Amino acid sequence: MIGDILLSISQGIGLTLYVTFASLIIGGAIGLLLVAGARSPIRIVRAVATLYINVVRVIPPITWLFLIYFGLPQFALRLSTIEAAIVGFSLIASAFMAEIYRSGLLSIPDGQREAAHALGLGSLTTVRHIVTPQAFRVALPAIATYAIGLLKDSALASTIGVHEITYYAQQEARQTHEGLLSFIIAGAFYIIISLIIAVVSRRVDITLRRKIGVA
Amino acid sequence: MDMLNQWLEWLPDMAPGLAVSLQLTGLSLLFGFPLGLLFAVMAEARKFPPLQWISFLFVEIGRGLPALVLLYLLYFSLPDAGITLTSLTTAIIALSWNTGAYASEYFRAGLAAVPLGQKEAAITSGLTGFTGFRLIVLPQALRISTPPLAGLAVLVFQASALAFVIAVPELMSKAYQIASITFEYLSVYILTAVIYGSITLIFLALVRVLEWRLGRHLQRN
Amino acid sequence: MVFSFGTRTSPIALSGAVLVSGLGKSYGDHKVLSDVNLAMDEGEVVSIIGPSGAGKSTFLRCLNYLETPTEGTITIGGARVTAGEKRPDKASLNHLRRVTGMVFQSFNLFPHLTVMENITLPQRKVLGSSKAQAEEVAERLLQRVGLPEKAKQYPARLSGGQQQRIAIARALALNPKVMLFDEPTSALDPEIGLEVLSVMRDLADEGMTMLVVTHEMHFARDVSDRIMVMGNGGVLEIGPSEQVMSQPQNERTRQFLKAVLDR
Repeated sequence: MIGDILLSISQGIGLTLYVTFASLIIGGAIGLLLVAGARSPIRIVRAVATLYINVVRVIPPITWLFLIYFGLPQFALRLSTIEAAIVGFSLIASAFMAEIYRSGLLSIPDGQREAAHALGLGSLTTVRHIVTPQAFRVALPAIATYAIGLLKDSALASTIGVHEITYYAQQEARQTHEGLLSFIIAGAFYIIISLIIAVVSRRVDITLRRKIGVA
Repeated sequence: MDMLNQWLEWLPDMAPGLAVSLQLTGLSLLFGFPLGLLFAVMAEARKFPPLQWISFLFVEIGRGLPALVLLYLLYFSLPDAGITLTSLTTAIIALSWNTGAYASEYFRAGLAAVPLGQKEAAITSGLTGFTGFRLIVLPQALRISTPPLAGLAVLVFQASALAFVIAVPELMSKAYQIASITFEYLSVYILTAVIYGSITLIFLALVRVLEWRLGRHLQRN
Repeated sequence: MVFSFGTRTSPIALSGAVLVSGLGKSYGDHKVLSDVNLAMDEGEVVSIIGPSGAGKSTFLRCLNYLETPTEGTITIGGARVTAGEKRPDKASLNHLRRVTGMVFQSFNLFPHLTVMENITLPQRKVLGSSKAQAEEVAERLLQRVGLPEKAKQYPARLSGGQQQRIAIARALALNPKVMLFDEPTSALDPEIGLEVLSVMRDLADEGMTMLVVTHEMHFARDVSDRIMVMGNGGVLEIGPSEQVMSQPQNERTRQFLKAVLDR
């Protein structure tokens, strides 16, 4: 009995991972643009970027999901459940990642930029070769922590019908009346995946720290 | 604007939902924070490993599981154990557990951050044991933990939106009802987003004021 | 405005020469630098000494526009920049930075790049050198500062003195006409500092034009041609090293030297 339920719920692992990591990557990319915008000398760009970040973060994820999945069709933009989930989580991730990048950037000592300046490296080169690689390494632990948070948020995708872990757990709970068991199993899956992310990121972090003491 | 008129029409229906959301948030914080403090203290009870283990279990499950899964877990399993509760109560229990788990980490950090010298001074001043803890260590720990805890409170408000899935009549469920009837999905959910967003922004502003007031005694002018 | 020329008489327009006139910097009403003048010949070494807060580093950092002066003119190696209301154009500033090299108190090596990459990246990006050319130059410079075996290492594994020597190599790789040193040994233990000062001494002997803000009085007296003493944002006096150290003309210089040398 346990085995059947376990197997059934495990079907959802694929989409859970897909939604989480697709959103993390897309959100991470958009976050880079956002943090660049937030530091732009052009006032309008700065305002838009800051507005985006502050608006996205204060609205609950489930509301965003519903807004995108149910509301967008009114603009003739009908997304599938998976697409809507990824769009929604990417949106949210981009705002949080922008904040993480901002902290990372703040932690780079001025001396680095000064040395680049004194050597005559242009702004773009400095950002690309000097600042970003270091900021990223500093931000890695925070990014890993956020990835775990995003993994847990991905459970919400079940509310708009994405066939991920929680969706199957719900199904099993209703069909077999083994509610406790189903959700303990679902919970276990989430915890295991979180642990894997945590362990891998710690390893990467330690290796990076040993190789290059970041300034 | 058309949309604004719609919104004004719907607000009377949404308002009770918001009230329930705030109620859910408030009660979850009311039970969750003390629970978190309890977990934190238990975790530091080096003389009683079983307490540490229990705390560890509750904390890791409470924050390792998605809040949604916690909600479903209790919602589906409690009736089977013969406990019938309203969905609101179930939601409060689930969110309190979730909140307590996260809060315990902040409390632990706060307790650890109180300089050792304070604890020593307390003991040598005759304020030992629980009294010393209550009068000297705890107040300082709380002061340190308050900003992140306030941030957590804001997150709990956002999490309250999840209670919708177990049929708690809070804001999201009201929005869903109205949307199902009027088919004005976009408009309804934008309104919902605006309501959540504004209240969250107000909360955050209050948090910043709180941080400033707490930090005042540390400023040297 | 009185210019004090070097011990060699040569036309100012030589490529390694430095000419600073009327340099000033203010934050609103607060004047951090006022009327600083300096004329250096090619190959000259000038040390800048003085009490903390005198504006020594600020002055140095104005020369490559790390800090923005509010008035005055800077001419280095053919690049000429005038401070004032309008910000100087990009081309002039870039020219200024190309002819100057700077070594910082905190080294500022790029920690995520190997020693080799630290020295080759600026060459490739600023000079447009190929990877092979850049590496050849880097190897030569590493030899010169005595650290050829460290090429593949990351800065974190090196001692402070080694990092600073690499920083010098990095700055030299771009063929600057003038090298600016901002308290290069202040962050190092005295014994470690000696290896850096030794490299700087060799550099001076080879004819590099150098401007060094330092607290190392021995270096100032033995290696530099002239010493410029600064105090309160202005120049207290400037003259041949031996003379300034043993027979200072300015009262404040005398007090400063007394405090620094008698211990």
